[in-house]
Amino acid sequence: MALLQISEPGMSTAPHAHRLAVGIDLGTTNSLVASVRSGVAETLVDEQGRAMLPSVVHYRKDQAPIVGYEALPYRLSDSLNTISSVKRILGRPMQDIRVHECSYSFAQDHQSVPRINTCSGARSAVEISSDILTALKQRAEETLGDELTGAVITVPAYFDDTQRQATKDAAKLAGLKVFRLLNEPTAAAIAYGLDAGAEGIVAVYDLGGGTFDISILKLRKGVFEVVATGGDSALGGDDFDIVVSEWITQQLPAELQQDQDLQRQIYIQARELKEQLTQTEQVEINIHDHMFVLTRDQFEQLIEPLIKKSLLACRRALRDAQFSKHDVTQVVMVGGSTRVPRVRAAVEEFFERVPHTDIDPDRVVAIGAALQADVLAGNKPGDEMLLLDVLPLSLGIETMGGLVEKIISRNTTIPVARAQEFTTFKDGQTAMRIHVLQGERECVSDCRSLATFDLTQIPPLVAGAAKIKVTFSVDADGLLNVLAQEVNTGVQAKIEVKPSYGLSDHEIESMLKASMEHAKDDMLMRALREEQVDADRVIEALDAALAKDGQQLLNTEELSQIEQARAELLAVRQHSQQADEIKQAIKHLESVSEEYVARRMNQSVQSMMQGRTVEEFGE
Amino acid sequence: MEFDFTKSYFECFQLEAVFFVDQSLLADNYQQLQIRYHPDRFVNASEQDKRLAIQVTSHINEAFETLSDEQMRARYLLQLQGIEFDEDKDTTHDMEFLMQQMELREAIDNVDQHADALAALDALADQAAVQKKQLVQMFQDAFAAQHWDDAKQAVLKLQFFKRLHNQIAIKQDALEDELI
Repeated sequence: MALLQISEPGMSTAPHAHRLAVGIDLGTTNSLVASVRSGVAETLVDEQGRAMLPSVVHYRKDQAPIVGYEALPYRLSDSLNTISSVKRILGRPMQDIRVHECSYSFAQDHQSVPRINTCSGARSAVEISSDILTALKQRAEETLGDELTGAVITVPAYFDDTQRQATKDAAKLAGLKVFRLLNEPTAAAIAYGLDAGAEGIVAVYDLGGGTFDISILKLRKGVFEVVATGGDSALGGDDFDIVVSEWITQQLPAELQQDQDLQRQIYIQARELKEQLTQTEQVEINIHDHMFVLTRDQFEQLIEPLIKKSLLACRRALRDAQFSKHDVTQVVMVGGSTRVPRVRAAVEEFFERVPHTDIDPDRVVAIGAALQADVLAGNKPGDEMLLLDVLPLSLGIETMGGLVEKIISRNTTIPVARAQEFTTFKDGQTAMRIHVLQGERECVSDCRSLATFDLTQIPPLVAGAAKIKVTFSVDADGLLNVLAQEVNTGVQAKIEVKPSYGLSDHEIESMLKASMEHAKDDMLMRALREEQVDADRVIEALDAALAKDGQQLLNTEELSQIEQARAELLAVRQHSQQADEIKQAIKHLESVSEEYVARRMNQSVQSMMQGRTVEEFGE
Repeated sequence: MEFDFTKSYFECFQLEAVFFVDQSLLADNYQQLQIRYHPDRFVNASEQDKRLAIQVTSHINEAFETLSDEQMRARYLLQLQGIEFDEDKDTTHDMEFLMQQMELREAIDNVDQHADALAALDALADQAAVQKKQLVQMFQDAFAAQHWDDAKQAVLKLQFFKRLHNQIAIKQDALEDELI
């Protein structure tokens, strides 16, 4: 009998020991941190009372990066070292990044993890995101006055395994304990308190800066169930800005259309125009004395294809959930782009229902995350709020002919575990490679490659006799784990994970280590290394010179003195860990050789006067 | 607190092992189990308890999915009776049924030829639903009479409707894409 003892959850928590926990909305354009204080969830503000932290990081040589509002001006003045919208490339392989839309310089050295060259070194999206999270963590700890026990971090519901893993890695790097990754739309539903007794079907329409998500949630007796998610991880308010700036560019004379700096200015101005058009009917534009007017009507026509794209995703999500749009009882609006009047109207027309817009659409996700963090920290024992999540994209493996066989289909409630049996096709075969993919398409090339697993130590048997059971399990955060076992012998096959993209645990560990080591140690290490190189160079040069004219220019005593100093330097170079000691030994050798060097110079000068070239005496 | 992995899926949800399942009772009991065992309830627990919570909820989710779906539930009922299924070898040899399936698939593939392709597709989906319903009835009758072979044949045939359903969904996606 497989009886398991499971202790009561959360019972060890003392009732009045309030654990500090925060909700973090790590956004494409802006990020926020919120916490529950005195029973109320609120976003935490900076010294100037601002809740939003622009997701912009400016890197400087030999100094800490600048994050947030202070980094904004550098987008124009130092664009290559100022990274914005990093979430768009987080957890994505190089080939998926629309390089022409990012003006950064990508490092060529790394095979699969894209790194952006900055003046403080090449930075991966995980590291850049971690700098944003660090700033939020600092703000929270300063505001709340103590260390955090953990955080709930929100991700677009559409994020795949690598994107979720990358988010967790960034948090780890920032020293945050992640209680749970939470889908952004789900967090919004929590913020609206839709868990309080309500029953029904909720559609959460989340149009942020860089991503669009639609989630269909089922609420029943205080339990949230995400029955379907859909969306587009590359559709958002930024695209509104792009179509507006393209329109502006078209109005300009040809010679101005090529100006890169002007392009960036226009893009930033397009964002302001978009915001103004939520209040006014038309805006005037003046670029290098070219004046023209953009009306709200024109603006709405420009963004209409983008809105249609979002509504198409809504239809799909409803069908996945097997609901019609008439089953939907509540619609929640999230994301700054839902301030655009046309977006609100289009959503209302589609669902035939007035959407919830009371809570600031920029803060609603962080607030929901904070409420969930409070529950998970154990601050509300007895609260039965529970989130059941689904897998956003199907998981499958590569089969013959480059096709994908689905193992776990999308929208399956997680956690979930599925086993699949594989067999050997050659006599005595002891190893096998399994390629795991995520996506809905049939061809390997159309899906995201997650990892390659090498199963080794399979017992050697005739072809088809060994049966390897591979169990794919997905945890509550939507992250994949794999376990393999030979069925007949029970031998656990060894799995070697080779992430096709992303960072291995080992890489994360070494990055963590590097960041935790004292900068002082790093500097000492570098100084030692520099002196070692210097010593090698000096010895090499001396040896070359001695071989050429040592016997000729030095008497026996002088020669042995120099050779002794050389031997001392060599010994120190090989055994000392102190940069200073090596430096002293170099100096000693140099002073002992001073006379020899002078004689060599004299000799070469004389040779020149005799019409011979220096080169013949060169080292 | 205990969790017994050897219990049948029906026992998990305190249900009788019969084909008819009260879906609302199933959903209620599923939620109760989730509230008790979900990993979110074990955030501050030991690593071992966290792993157990994942295993238990995975099991509960598997059980719920199996009992929620007619074909999977039917198949599971037969497995409880000791009837085995071999993924690679078991399939139906009923030629008339196979022909019918092929015709349906071709009709779905060629639905673009209709003026209102979406409406034509909806009609085909309805037709498939009727056939599926008949098969479910066949299974119930055979199962009640303990005619295991006939019941197994019905389950194997029902498997085809899952693929048919996928094919219809993919077609719907494609047609809607064209409309936008």
